[in-house]
Amino acid sequence: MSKFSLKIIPNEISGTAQIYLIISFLDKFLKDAKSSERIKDYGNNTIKDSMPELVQSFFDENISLEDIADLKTNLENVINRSPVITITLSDIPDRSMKLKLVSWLRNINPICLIEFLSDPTIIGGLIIRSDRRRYDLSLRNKLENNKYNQGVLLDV
Amino acid sequence: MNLSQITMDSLINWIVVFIIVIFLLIVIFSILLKIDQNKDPEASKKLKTNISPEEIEKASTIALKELVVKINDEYETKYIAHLKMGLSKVDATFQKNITDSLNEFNSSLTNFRNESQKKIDEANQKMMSLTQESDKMFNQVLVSRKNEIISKVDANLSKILVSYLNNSLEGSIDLNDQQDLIFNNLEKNKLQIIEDIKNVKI
Repeated sequence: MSKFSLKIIPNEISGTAQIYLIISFLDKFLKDAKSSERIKDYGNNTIKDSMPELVQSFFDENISLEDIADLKTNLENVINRSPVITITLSDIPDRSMKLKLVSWLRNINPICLIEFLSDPTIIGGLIIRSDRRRYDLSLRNKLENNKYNQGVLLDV
Repeated sequence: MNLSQITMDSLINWIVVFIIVIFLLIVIFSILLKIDQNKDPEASKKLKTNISPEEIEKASTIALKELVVKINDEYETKYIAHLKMGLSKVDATFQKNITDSLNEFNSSLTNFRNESQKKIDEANQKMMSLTQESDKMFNQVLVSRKNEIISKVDANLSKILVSYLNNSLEGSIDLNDQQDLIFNNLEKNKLQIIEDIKNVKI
């Protein structure tokens, strides 16, 4: 009986595309393990060790093939049910910036998915779009909406 | 002249005298009877009592009808006159009441207008003075914050804009310069963002 349940998604895995890649990898891994009858060869330690670090980061302890199957199912559920947040920045963020933003949002919901877009015309700041609403926190928006209220604008 | 002839003549004479005496008595009796009638009024009534009850009833009915008609006529005439008089009184009272009410309303309206105008004038004066004061205060605040605003321009907006312009000329924009701006905005909208994304469980 598998004890695995997905509680968090590592911050390095931010968006849907990465989740799909991992699901694809897990699927292939499971098929390969079964078809080549290597299941017996995998001990509790060897299974985790044979995974990429990105996949290993989902697990705290040693894992079994059942855990991997459960992880795959859980990740499929994440894609279907988790809220997807799209963040538009004035440039493509580097790894550090991405991790900070993902970390901030995952503190609110540990399994939300974040997609990044870039649009230089927003000048600065960001635009956040969730399934429900859109928050334009860009500098362009502030400049456009605060032409006659520079004092408030300058409080940014 | 014989005796039998003399006796016959005297008999005729006696008969004539007797007839004359009877006629005179009748005349005298009739005169006396008339005198009695004049002296006694009841005698005439006594005479009328000889009229038949049917005639009396008929006469009474006619008189009664006439009396009723007369009473009705009088009553209607007086009642209509009374009504007319009453109506004219009511009209006059009603008209007076309406006139009084209108006058009272007009006077109250005039008072209200005067009072309102007075209040409006007072409010306008107060607003004018307040506006002048607030303008003064605003200008003072504006002047006092001028340096502060300029320093903020230097510290925040100008930094981002200059960075953007400089880097965009070189084909890149450094997001690290915007980190404070980005995370400050996120914190400001945190509550709304939390509402959007927190309640989803796998």
